[in-house]
Amino acid sequence: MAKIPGKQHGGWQAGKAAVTASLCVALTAGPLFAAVPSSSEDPSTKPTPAGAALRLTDDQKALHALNRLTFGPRPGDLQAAEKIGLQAWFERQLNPQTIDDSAMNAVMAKFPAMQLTQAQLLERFPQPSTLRQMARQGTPLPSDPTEHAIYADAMANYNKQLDAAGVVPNAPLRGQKQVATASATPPNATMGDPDNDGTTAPAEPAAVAGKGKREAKRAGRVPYSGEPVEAILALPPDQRIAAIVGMSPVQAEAFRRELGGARLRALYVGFSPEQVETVAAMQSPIRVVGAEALESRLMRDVYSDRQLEAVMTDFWLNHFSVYARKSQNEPYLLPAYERDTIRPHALGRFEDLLVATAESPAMMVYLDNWQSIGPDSPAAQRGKRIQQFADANPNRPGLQQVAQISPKGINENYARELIELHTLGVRCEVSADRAASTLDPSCGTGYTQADVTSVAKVLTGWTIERPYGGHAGDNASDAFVFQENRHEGGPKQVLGKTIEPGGQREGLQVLHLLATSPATAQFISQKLAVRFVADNPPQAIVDRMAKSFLATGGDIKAVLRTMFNSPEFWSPPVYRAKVKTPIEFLASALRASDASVDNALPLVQAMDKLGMPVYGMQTPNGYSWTKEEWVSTNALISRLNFALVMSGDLLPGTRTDWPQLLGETKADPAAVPSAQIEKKLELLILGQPAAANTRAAVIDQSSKPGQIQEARKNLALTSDDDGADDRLMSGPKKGNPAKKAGGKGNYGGGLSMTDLAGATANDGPLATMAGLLLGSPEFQKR
Amino acid sequence: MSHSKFTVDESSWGCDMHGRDSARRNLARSGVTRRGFMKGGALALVGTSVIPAFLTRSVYAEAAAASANGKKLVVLFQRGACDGLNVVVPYAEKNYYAMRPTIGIKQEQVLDLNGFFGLHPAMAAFKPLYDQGHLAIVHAAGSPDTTRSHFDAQDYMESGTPGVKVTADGWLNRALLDERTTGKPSAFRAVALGTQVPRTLQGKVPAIAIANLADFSVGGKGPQTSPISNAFQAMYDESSDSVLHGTGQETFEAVRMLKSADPAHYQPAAGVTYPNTAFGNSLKQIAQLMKSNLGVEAAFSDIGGWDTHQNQGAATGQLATRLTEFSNTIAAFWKDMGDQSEHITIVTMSEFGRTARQNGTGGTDHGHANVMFVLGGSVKGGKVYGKWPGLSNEQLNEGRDLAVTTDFRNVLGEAAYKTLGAKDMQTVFPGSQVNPSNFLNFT
Repeated sequence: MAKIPGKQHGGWQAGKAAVTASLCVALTAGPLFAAVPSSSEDPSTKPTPAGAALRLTDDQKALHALNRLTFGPRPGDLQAAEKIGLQAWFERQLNPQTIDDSAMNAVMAKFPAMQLTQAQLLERFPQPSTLRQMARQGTPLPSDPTEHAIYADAMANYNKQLDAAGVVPNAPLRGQKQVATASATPPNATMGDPDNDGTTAPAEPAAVAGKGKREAKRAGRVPYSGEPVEAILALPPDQRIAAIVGMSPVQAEAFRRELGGARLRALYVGFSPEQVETVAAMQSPIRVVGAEALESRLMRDVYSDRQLEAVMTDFWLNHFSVYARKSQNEPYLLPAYERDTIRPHALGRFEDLLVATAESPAMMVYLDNWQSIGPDSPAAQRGKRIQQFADANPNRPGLQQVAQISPKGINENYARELIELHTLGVRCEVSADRAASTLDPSCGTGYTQADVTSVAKVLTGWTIERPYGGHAGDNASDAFVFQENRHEGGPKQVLGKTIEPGGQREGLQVLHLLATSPATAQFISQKLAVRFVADNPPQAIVDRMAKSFLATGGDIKAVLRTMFNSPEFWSPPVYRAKVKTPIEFLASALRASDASVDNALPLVQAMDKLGMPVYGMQTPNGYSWTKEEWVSTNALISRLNFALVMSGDLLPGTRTDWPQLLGETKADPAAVPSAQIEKKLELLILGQPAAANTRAAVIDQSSKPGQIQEARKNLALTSDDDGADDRLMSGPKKGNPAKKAGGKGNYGGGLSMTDLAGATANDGPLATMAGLLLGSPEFQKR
Repeated sequence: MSHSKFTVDESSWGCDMHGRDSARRNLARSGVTRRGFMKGGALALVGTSVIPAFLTRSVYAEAAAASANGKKLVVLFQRGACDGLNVVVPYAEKNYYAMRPTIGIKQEQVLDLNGFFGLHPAMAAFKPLYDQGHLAIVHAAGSPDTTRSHFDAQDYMESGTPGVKVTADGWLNRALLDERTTGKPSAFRAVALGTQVPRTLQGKVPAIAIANLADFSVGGKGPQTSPISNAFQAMYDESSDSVLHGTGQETFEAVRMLKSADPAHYQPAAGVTYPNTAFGNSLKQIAQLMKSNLGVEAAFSDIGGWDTHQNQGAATGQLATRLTEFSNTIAAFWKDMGDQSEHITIVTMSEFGRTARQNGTGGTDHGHANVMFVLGGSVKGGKVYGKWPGLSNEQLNEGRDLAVTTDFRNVLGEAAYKTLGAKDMQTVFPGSQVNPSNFLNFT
């Protein structure tokens, strides 16, 4: 559409100069101009349109509350909330332990790995670094048959990759005690972890490495020679899994190949979730962990009845953002990060949450603090000695590398983001360009680079133990520990206060200082208000929330209660004014449709397409809560195609039942629905009637079913199993996570057994109409 | 919709505000976002026309009209603060090796440029471009603002207004605004490869984001838009939300043009292989769009992973891997564009450099000045531009970083001036000292 109509309409040319001239005056004059560009974007400055309601109706209030404080209403939710009263509903949501969440727990039972402790998880699903270490040292495999199979197969996979990269190991056979056939220096191209092994050889260009791998794969294939595949598939589940676990790694791989895509599903029939995990882990343990961490996070957002807790968990996971591809350790740290670090404090005290994140291995690894050590600490002295020894013995293999990766001093990455993103906010930074006197009053005297360095010193020694069993040398991923010998001694100056020498206590003091600062109260309140109220929230509500924050020692419940009871929260201009983020769009679509999901991986992949990969924000600022970040040509295309594909049951593992939902099970599914049914669908999906244009388009298309099948081609999610493993095993992708074409590079594939290309759309008139409504402008807002 | 909105939209490219419109630019603070500002107006006038004009005209005709001068600017952002001192290495600086005992690039390993600087060995793909005189280097470039926050620094670089947070639009968008064009601009005039329009390209000139050309369509990949796509278009045409409305317009127009031009059939030229990475795919697709003659004038892409706090490696390792991808991708693009590269200028940037000294974990922390590359048909390459500030302790910024001697806006300004024809540097970089008399004249 033309943006410069003047160029198209000759008559405009003549008048343009005059208009322009007068506007230049208007622009420079300022105040004259201020009233002109009224915009629906900004509720705080938008004048109430003449004749518009000054207050929300009760129905609007219910819809507003559920749109803002949950991931969108499911059928019946609005009525239920109105029945007990919004205030009572809100108080219940503020106290999630009072809400029965058994339906959610049943969903979570599909992810048994997510219930394991950190140590159990690391034992059951060995990390690539653990396998590497075991191969190097010839460590015996575990004796438990299931774990033995997982380790042996994963190890064989590892060796196969070394083989493809030209390192020539022998594929070990099941039962062999020694598996250490790998070279002492694994090639980075396949097993390397850029964050931890950056000192070894550089990766080959991806295309070349991939080609070599494929060729090696074909060349090294051993034909399947075990029990007939059909006979194994016919076994009862317990015997079937025993047969698979009992195969040698080479035979297990040959068996899978023999099975092919079509019969793969039959393999899993009747398996318990643990058995499904075992078979998947035999191919790639890290993929099981990574996939379940992402899937279970999405499933909780969709299915938990403790919706405010889910929303706040999502909010804090984004505020204290970590990145799944930081290193090969990071996926293993995500389950505990969500379950033990964030969720228990999501509606608790901010300071408890801050301390929990500071101590969490996930954050330690993501922002490098686990490696930061005092430059004058005993550990640094030792590092220097190692370096000197390495320099004096240049021919000792690997010594330089050991020396190089042993930490010798401060890494200020976490300290900076702790201040800038987690607490005070970057608006409080004092620098040569910004004097303290120019800061927001809540900043006080602000912070400087010197404060960042001091806080980094305070937090030296905050690190993590060696992982389970001490298998891995240069990786760490287990529990938080304070190590005195890494801590920088002496007093430190932080934000104008002297922190006396006190080991671990120094860090707690600084975290307390940060958590209780008025700057933090303002920063957190502002961010909450942007999430819950408006992209540009009125300052009055932010100030009121910040006051609550300070008065209650950072009680998050109290801050939310203040917000809920503020008139600004209920003012008509903010009603339906927020554009949904991709997670809000996806979760609300699934909730409005009352869809059932038994495979969440395609949804995880869809989040990539929608531009918001789960645990996929590479930088520590997390995703934005404002609309500019989420409305683009590409985002819109993805949303429209997702809406169609989901409503037409073309997302593998996600099913809708529109006739059931509308109480129209007896009607002819192919018949064009009545206007009454269309309106019912509008209320179900949008919570209110659609705009005239939307309704006209929906009704018009309802007589043209059968169009959804094609939409699948525009939402190409990866469904192939081959190669996904290699991508994960090769460590974090450093590209912009939002830009992975075709969902490549996520954890997808491992448990996804559905052949996407073979699916047929359930695209009768109701599904077509639902897809259009889910893609409508109205549904993009909350 | 009111006429006042329309006139507001129109005024922006007619008057030379010389920075006096900064109050108007405070859009973020006053809550008037760029889309609300822009869309309401132009579309209000023509938004109700039944058959959009673009349906009745050839894609090629309008594209040709829009990019009359045929020049194209590609901006590449290295997000995360690239370690410029290990990219174009000042190997003749004594203090360099003292400050970087284990991560320094040894003199015998660098690809020597001029007896003082050498390219990181992973960037071999850049060396011939430099030797042929297409690639220019500007060292010690950066922002006058000293923030060490990635997010603030990126924001300042993308808005083009260091220290001013309330600027609502991006410098490249303003550069397009200032460019003299004839006829209706193409929907592809400003395009970002990715799921979102970056800050750099946000503003009054419509800009589109495309992650993957092959998937950029609604309800099917056929040569015509599907009925269901048209149904969505009808909904978005009348949406009362100006942001969704405007984006809808851009989206459906772009889809239609893509279907007509079918850029996917332009495969890379013989012998050109792009790295199979997100960044590689982005540039491959920029090339396809440009070859399709869709009227691309400004293209943007970014590449992350430069925040090397830990174990960045030296001649090999983490940074080296990333530099290989970076330089191979750009070199592939250059070769792929063949004769057309004559009209293309590519400029690279990163929010700040890294500490001159390595840190305690084999990496580098947030620093200040950095290196920028400019590659183009009319670039006077084969030279390292800018004043070298030195690396002795007293020459460092705050005693820890390479000092800035060239304002990054000066480099971008020259590229925009000479490539896009944006003549008014106060529009592009309000409040700056940038003007043609102090350009480095690398082009």
